[in-house]
Amino acid sequence: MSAIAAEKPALNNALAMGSAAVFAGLGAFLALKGVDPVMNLHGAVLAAASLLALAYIFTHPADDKSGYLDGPIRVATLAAVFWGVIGFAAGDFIAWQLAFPALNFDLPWTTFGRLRPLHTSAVIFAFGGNVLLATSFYVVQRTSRARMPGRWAPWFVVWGYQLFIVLAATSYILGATQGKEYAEPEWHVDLWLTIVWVAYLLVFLGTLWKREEPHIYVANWFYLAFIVTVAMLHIVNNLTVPVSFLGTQSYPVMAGVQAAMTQWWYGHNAVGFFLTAGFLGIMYYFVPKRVERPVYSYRLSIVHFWSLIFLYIWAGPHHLHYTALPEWAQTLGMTFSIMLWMPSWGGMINGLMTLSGAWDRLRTDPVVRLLVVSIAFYGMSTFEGPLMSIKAVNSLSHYTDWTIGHVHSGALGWVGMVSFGAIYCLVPWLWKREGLYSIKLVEWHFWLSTIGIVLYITSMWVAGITQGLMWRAYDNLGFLKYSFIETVEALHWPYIIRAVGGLLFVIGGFVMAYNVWRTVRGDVPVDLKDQPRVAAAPELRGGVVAVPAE
Amino acid sequence: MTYQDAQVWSQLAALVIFLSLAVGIAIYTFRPANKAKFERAAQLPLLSDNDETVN
Repeated sequence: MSAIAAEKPALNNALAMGSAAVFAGLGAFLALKGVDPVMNLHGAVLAAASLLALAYIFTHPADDKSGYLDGPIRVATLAAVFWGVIGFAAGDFIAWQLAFPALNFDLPWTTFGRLRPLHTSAVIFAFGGNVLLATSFYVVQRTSRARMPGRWAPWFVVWGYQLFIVLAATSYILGATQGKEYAEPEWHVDLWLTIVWVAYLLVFLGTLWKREEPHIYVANWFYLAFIVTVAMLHIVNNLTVPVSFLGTQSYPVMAGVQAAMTQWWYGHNAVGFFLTAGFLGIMYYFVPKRVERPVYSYRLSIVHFWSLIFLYIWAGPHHLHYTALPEWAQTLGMTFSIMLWMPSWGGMINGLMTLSGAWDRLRTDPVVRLLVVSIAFYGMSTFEGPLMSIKAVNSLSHYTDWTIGHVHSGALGWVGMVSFGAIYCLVPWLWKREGLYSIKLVEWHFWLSTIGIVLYITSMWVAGITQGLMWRAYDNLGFLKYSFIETVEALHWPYIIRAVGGLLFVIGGFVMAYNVWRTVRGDVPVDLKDQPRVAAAPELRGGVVAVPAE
Repeated sequence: MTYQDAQVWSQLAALVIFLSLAVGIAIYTFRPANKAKFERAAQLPLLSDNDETVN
């Protein structure tokens, strides 16, 4: 071994420990000198996390440098399950609050206004984000046939991201927020996420750089578009000036309609690139992998990718119909949203048709069923979205619960179910198991989620259209027919049905957590004979069936 | 240069850039010479489980 090769791990460890020490010092400083309690708390959390990292690096100097680096993927997979259950439960709790406002408990920390961003961030960034971290690291290594670069960088990405989640969640509960939807964390938490995200981009690019395959598989294009675009959106939408470097309070650089447009340029592309492009990366790897067939049309996947990213970035203004935003910008947002029908449905067809010749898997493998139904929901919600972006439709649907229903058909149906499918694939593969602990429980999870989603979206259609019609009803003298509180009263039963649907989805989440825990623990599967060969880890799938000579 | 001029020229430039990108991508996607490459690429998720081939 050359001297340089021997020195490199030592240098890596020294750099990692140096960074951890710097962050520990910064955290201690903010804990003691911060001017508000949230900053004190965040400083203490940062210091504690950095000291733990320092201790871990110090006690683990040797590098086991063989094969793929799967440790960070395991952490992100378990984190996704953990935060998922919390995020779903928080969402269902606030759904019950809307039906029964007494559940606010008259405490500041448990009001809808603080728990709602906790729910959205927990499901989008904590659950969805960890699923994307886990699957992107898995997919980019396998399709590049290369190990992720860096001794500590991938670990920093995964644990740094968990720290971001803890900082964001505690901010909301304690009332520190920028008040921007899906971008609620204050400036110091945004900066931390920026550091983590740049490390994520570098680790991903570094793996592609080392690749053995000449071609970059299409799933990686989607993941890369997601990482790069989210970086751009996050930085521009969070341009603020802190009141003090020792406090959480800040003021945004942009104001008025410019701020609104930037916010929805961010917000809609969080949907387009975080919740769509990233999860399409999952679809393009895990569907072919699970049904053991190549994607239906690779050419269509390329057209899907480029048309999707070209069109999505312009669709944001449809969130600001009939506002101070110039009318041409509203029309542009609407037009591009309608054009998005084409790539969305092209992608859906590509995903579904991958099963052609293997449709029996839909009957025999509930994991395939989760993946396929998620693609069906992708098609459904990407049909509904452009419809709602048409100004005439939007004049009825905007500000009503129809929007909430639409978001959840995408979030529970598409993002949730494709993630569950990927998690059920990944867990036995990563922990080297023969299969899942129970495929029967996957079946239960599938039906609980599906029925829950159907209750959710149908009740919200009813609620939203009722609201929209009541708000625009006039009597024959030209007065508004209903007061606002009458519309609220009319929504009581739809809200209860929605909360019941959500409860089924939460129970499904717990069933998944139990199944994942039993699989990780190494318990003997109860129904291995019902599981497909591909459920097992690659090294346990048995010998390749002998092919007779031709 | 007036605001109107800047608007016209920037829109024209964007039109040319985006249209040529779209045409370029379509050519890349449907060129018969790339068919074999894409067929191999489509197999990538199904081939690459072997840990020993890692770089």
